[in-house]
Amino acid sequence: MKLSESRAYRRFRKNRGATVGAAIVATVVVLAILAPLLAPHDPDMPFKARTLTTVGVPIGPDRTFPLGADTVGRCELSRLLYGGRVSLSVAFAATALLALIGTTVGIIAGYAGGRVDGALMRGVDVLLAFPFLLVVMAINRAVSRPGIWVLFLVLGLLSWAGPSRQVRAKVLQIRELEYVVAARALGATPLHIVLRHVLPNVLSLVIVLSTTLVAEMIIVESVLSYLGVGVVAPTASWGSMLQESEALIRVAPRLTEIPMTAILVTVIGFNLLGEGLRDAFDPKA
Amino acid sequence: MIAWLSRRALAALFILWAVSSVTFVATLKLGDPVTIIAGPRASARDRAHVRQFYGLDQSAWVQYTRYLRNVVRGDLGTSFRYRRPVAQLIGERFPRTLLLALMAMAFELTIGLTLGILAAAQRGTRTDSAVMTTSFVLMSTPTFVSGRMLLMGLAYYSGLFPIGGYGVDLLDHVYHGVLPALALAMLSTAFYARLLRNEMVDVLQADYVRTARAKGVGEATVVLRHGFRNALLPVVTSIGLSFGSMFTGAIVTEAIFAWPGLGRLAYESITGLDVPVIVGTVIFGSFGILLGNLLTDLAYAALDPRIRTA
Amino acid sequence: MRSIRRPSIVGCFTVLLVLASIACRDPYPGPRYRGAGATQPRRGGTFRVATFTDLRSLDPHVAYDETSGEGVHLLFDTLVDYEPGTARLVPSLAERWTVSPDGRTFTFQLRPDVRFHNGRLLVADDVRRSFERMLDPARIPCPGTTFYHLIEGFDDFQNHARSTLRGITVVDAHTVQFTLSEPDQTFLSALALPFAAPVPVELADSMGRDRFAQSPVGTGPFVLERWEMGARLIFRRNPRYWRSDYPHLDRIVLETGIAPHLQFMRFQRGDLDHVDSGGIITADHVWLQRNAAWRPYIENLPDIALWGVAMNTERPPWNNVHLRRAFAFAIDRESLCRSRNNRVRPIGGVYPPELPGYDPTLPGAQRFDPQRAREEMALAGHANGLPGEHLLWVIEGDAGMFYGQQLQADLRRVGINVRLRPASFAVFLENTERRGSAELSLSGWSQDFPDPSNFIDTLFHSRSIQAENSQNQAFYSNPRLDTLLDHARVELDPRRRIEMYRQAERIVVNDAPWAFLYYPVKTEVRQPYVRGYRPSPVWSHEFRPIWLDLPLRRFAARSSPFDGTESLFATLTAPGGWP
Repeated sequence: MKLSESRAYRRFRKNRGATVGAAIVATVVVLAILAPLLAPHDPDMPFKARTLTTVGVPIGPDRTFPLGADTVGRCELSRLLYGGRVSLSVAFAATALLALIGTTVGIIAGYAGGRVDGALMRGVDVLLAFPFLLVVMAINRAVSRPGIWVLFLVLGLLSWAGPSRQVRAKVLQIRELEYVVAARALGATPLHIVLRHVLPNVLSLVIVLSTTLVAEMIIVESVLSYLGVGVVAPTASWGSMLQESEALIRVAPRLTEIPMTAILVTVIGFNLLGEGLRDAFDPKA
Repeated sequence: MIAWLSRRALAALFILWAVSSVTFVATLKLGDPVTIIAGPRASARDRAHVRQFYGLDQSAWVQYTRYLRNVVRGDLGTSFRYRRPVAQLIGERFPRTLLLALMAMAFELTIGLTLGILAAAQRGTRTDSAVMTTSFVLMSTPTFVSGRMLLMGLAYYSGLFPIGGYGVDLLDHVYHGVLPALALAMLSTAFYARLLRNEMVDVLQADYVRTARAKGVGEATVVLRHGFRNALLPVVTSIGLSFGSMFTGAIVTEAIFAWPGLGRLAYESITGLDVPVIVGTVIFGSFGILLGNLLTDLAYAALDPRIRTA
Repeated sequence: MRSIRRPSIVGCFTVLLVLASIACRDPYPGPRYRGAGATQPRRGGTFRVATFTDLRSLDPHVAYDETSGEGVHLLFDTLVDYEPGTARLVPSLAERWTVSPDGRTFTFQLRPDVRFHNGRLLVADDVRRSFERMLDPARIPCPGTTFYHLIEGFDDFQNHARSTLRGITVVDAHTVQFTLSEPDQTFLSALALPFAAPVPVELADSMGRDRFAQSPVGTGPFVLERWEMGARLIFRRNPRYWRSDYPHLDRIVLETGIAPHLQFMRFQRGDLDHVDSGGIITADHVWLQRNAAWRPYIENLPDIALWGVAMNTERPPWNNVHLRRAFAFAIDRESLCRSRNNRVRPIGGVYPPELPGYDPTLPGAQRFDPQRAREEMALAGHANGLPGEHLLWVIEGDAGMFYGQQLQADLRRVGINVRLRPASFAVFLENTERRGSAELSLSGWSQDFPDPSNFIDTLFHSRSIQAENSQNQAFYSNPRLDTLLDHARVELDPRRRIEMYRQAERIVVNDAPWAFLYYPVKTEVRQPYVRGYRPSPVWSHEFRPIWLDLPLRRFAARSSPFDGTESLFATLTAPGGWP
């Protein structure tokens, strides 16, 4: 069935919120990918003499620096673009990782059942019992080479438990569907059934989950960077920009407003998209 | 019932053990605590004495087993920085966080549900649209953003509320707690508002409302009762979840408002490498989460007879 | 979830705009309250301050961090003290003292009228027993015993070969004598440290170490009334204090855990009476500088501290003096300080201003000289740049990274490539103080007491090199310097002594084991009604002599709320627009 013919797609198109969400997400992603082309300057380069006044206050917007300079004298617009790149990469990578693990675990647990299910779910319980933020912070502190890679690994490896539960619940449902039962009775191998029947049905759930998870991961990354346990300076991320700008809140409030607005708009975009997708796949369940 | 409870309790204990072990191992990599305790200017001899006193010169395994033995007895160790029992520190800070959490929950439920009813009653109008939109935006606002705005707007500029801090007596605590509780409550308020509005709108279109109208029963009563009942399970789940996170304290909110609760303690212990406190708060937090799950399951079973048979 | 009313897109963005446009104007442009106008100190009032870090211990023999020191300073006295606002040692618990001609024996005459907070009179034996408590590693893990290592019998006592300290003698009820194994010009300064404060040892022992740290008893001008853990401490005036000229305050309330921006906002609103650099973030600092109404109440005082890059002289290529000099001349210190809003000032030598021995005309002082830097690079054999990337350790946090990145940029221009390695304080110390480990580190040193030996001996004498926890982070060893410092330490004539330390500084500056960069300037602001306060070059604060000019009166009405600052959205809507 072609995409444009699917009912889900048509429902999605009609949903104004969803299309706007999709537009926002697309814009943000494109801007992030094209950041090296769009950014007027090197985001890590402090142009001290040019961008700081004699008392060290960063300049406001002007011709060369469209959004002005940040606390150390770097181009705010460039940092915004590259920061979006970092924040989105971490969020996407973490989400991809946790979606992969969560889906795999959920499918195995749901389909295999019995002992395997029990053991896997016990592991999930343990993971869910960890106070998330605390543990992430502690691990980031402990790691000797903190940075983007560690961050996305930690986030991805610690967050798959919840989604795996939901996938498992869905798989349990699917397992009892008529044609699946029939396929099993006919002697199809588990792998065949998983690939042909389970996976496609689980996919829509995973897509919807992932969208909202990306939004969550963006927020988590920004909180961590804000607390000082996320990305490492001078790397720009929207969270670290918020943290750096706190000192100049009264002198240059735009340095706080810019990353804050970016985070809000992006998260709203992903949430709109997520809700739109959910409605498109599963209206009035 | 007893069997189910005891199975759950046993599982919870196992999980608690797993969590504490993993955390303990992780903290071994956090850096040498002797510097924290003795300070940067201590001589080598002084450091050796400190190391010996705290048993830091023994192998990791010995430290681990000793720690487990103590935990079973309720002794979560002694803080490196404060030189006081971790359990005592947690016991001091937790009530403050609890106050915040309870206030937040009160706000969430009252404001959220009221807004939801309002929006449902005015469905289709601009009020409905406004409430839904604001809720959506608020749900997407991270706590540290909304917290900062509340602090700046309602405390600093307007002078209506104190600028962070804790206060001296209970009434003062509540007064100081209004803003941080509001910040904590925002996400869930929005969630409850939208949830209730949707449930009630659905109910309004359902058959039994038409029946009720036909029978002459008060429509509002019916809508409210059914709307609430349908919304109950998700709300209970949400409360159960927030119950669990209450035990760690809202780290960011407490940092922004300088609220001396458990979240602050946890954050300071991580940045200060106070290992016993870190492990202690993680265990306490896990305990809270597990307790929250248990209570939520109990509530489910009580509310929905279908689940009881599972 | 079922179908939802789609949130209006326009609505979304309106809400966003509203949320984001809470523009940051100034509701409190100047002081709100002023005093009654009294000229003589009067009794009464509660003085309120806040800190960010929490106190750990109020036991003077244990506490080493700055915040705990604040509390200890109010509760305990020492034999000698610094005159408030200065670096001059004056009598305190000791009315007078004599030093033997060979400089090894100090005899102190104690005041007879000093009482501990629990009422007991202070006697000379308390001094001896307090020192024995402090110096005994089995009783107290005191991090400062090294300051007293010259007291005779120190080693025997610490190794428990003897149960008493040979070098402390109680001559009579109010006379105590210290005998050192060598003459030491800094011993008096060491006696002014809180580690040397007398405590009622029998009480401390009966309470147990941990309880005493929370409910301390000393001889100081204030008594601890209450300690709400993690929230605040309340100190009350000591009615039986032996001085007549202070204290005046009824109470001091110290709130802990209050972030700097919160501290300043409270100060502006009048909820705090004093705020210092720890409570003044950059934005507020800049705002203060432009504010005429607050100017009379602002004090700037250089901190007796030093920051720079320590280069491990034992590890190539940093054993090459020309390369080190190139490093030192490559850094644009003025620009660095400017980008930090001049809260730090450039320095080219070992001693900051305010430290005795400071030489404003230091010949060969390190400074920004790119030409010279390139010449030295050529002399080092790296005219085309130093190959490879070198790790520069910095303490994590915005300050470390901030300076680090600017250093990186400056060094790149002369062909030296460094990569920043941020680390937590503990990890940083572990690595930079271990022999053969770190190459470069952005380190600082602040005074224990205001004497040049505290800086140059600790940082550059070869005796200070250890395999672990070496405070000589450059692992610098120069026999000529060592001899000079050893002579200076025992020199009795103060003028000759200072001259020797200046000579030593010239050697170090020329050899450049460190690139000396800057020293911090602390800024303090007080409310107009806070009187009798002078910033101290030695302590973080000197709150003891303060009096409050009560009752308070309001200042005139506030000026326009639309004062000064730019907000993105304000610029969007202002006439003229943007860009």
